[in-house]
Amino acid sequence: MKKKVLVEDPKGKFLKIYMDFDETINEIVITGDFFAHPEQAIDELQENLTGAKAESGEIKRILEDFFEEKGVRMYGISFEGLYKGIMECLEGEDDG
Amino acid sequence: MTVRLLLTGYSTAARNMAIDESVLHHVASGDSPPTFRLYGWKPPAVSIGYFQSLAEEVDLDVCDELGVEVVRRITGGGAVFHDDEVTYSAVIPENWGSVPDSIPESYEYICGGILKGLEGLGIDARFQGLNDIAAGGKKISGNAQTRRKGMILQHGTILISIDLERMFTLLKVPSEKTRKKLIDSAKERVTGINDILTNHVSFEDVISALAGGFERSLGVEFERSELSENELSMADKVAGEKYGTEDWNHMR
Repeated sequence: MKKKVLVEDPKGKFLKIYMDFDETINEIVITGDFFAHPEQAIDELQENLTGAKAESGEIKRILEDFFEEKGVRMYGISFEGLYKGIMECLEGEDDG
Repeated sequence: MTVRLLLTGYSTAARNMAIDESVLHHVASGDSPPTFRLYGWKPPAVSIGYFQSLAEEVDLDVCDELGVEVVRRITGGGAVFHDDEVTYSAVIPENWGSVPDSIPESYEYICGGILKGLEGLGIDARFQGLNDIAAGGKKISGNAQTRRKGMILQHGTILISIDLERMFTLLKVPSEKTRKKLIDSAKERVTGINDILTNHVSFEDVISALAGGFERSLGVEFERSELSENELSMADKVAGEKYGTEDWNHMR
């Protein structure tokens, strides 16, 4: 199933998340006008989410692990925004 | 302290971003000194933030029709229409002089030069939020930063004037109805130097004002210089092999 959602991150920026999933996440692309230092951290997060079970517990665990990692500085993107966006993808209708 | 100043005039979108990257590389390796660069975009261009999707943000057909280039930056942030403006880039080591380690504070530190530059033109402006500068409550400058190889690369634009109707035909909007609303609301929130000043200034006037502003604000003296041979050859390479490619620009 393919989904694309737009969520307003509580940190003030818009996140657009594209996801292709069935029982597991096949592909996820996180886009938006936020900042992350180092930038590659977001690519790593996408990799961590790819292949993960498409269910809230697993998603939450991966996001928590990511946000607990020291040294990644983010502006305009947060745990809450990402979690909300990914869950909206999982719960919504197929976009085709 | 003496700092290198590059005035590279107008370049294409791919070349502008390639020069910033090449300078970053050469300052990091110690081959070039800390550098400020002031420049413009010809033809006009839309740059998008590192994490944005080009196809989602920009109407590529309209850009094509109007001869507007597109490029993905290595810095985060939003889409910017580069037309009647001056762009700067600062490439300095993270531990340079009294630059703060904190990203929000370092934005404000470097943007202090823009405030001084605008002041020199008779415009009272303020730093706001994470990375913006506003005059009379309206945004006049947007800035974006990345930290790589122990360096800060910060680039940003200072608007001389802005054609919002044109800008919102280049950027994708949800519908025609929202386009009008976005333009109206942007008119309340965005301004340019020549919207404020009765005696209009040129690209060159703004460049001298900004150069002076950075010198006064950072307590440095600029020494005019050119890109080195190595910087030029890397810029040529990166313009062609990265910033000018679909792979890079359509990465997201």
